[in-house]
Amino acid sequence: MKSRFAFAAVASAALAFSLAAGAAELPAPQTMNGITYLSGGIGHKEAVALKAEAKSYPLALVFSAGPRHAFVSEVKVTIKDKAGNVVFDSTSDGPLMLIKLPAGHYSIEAVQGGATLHRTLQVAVHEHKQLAFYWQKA
Amino acid sequence: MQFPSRSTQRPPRTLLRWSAAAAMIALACGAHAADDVSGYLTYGAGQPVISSGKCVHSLEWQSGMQLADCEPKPVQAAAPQPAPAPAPEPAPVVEAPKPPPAPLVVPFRLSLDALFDFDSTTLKPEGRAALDLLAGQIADANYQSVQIVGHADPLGTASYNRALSERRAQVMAAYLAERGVDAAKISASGAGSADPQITLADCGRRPHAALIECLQPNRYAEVSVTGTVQQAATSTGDTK
Repeated sequence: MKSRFAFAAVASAALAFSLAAGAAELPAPQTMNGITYLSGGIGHKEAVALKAEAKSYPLALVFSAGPRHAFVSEVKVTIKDKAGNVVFDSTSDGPLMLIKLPAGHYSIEAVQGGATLHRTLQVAVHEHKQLAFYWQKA
Repeated sequence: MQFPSRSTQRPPRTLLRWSAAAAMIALACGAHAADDVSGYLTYGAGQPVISSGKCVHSLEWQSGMQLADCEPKPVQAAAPQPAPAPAPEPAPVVEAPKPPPAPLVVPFRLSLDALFDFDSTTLKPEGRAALDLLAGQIADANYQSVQIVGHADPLGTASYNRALSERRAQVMAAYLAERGVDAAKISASGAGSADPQITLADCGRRPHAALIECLQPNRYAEVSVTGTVQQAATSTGDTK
């Protein structure tokens, strides 16, 4: 009996530890014009943690380039609302960005290595979308 | 990233050689480590590891040792023996005469494979042990600045590699600060894969895992410590 309790205690402690460790892999949330976002994905663990977290964000951006579709960082992201106002403007700290965009219609511009990609996007409430930006030239 | 402005009330006078630690790190990273041949770190085939244009000395290095074109030409120019003799037992020589008057920083090189798993930014236990050792040596010195520059292999994109090498340098800096090194004196930056020791062309076509192994010398960090030493703590150590 006693040993079972001990085992349960150890197991739950281990679980708590692994949860804490998982959370620690996420980059710190940032804010831009009142919009919360996460930016990163440097190192395998952080990329995995961000992908797991993506579900709770309306928009996930993934950046890659080259023949092997390798991750790129330092992508300048500008998001404009329907009226053309810039609502978000930031350079990524890695290949992944999770953005809490309010519902609406947006156009997104992503610049990497001097090359610009454009997308338009409809964000609805309680919806999650992922947009992949791919550049031929790494 | 900016280096901290060096408020030079007094210029650094003595160069610090972290060669003893470097040799231990080389041991710590096992089979992948650069070998230690007659006073020099080499890539196994006897090719010296070059850092900032200088050969990286190992623990056994003593004044007068020579490998390839590592040192300025010796005075006795006609040395018909290019191959260095097998490592002589380091004689318990007392200190070399005088340190050069000009301030000089010798970079201390750590294999990042010894500190991090592939594509990881989390320090391995042996990486923490290596940095503990380094933190202890830095603490013993009257240091003015500690500059950490991370380097990455050429796999993947340049921007990702810059970010990865910078992140790793930051992780190392944070850990050194945790171990008592003054955070205000540490700077961390990433050079990415801009300055490869071994290129993809050098490695040629091979399976991915073998390629990663071949590119190992590119995954390193240079830790440059500028400062003065209270006492020449050059341990002619017996780390082996």
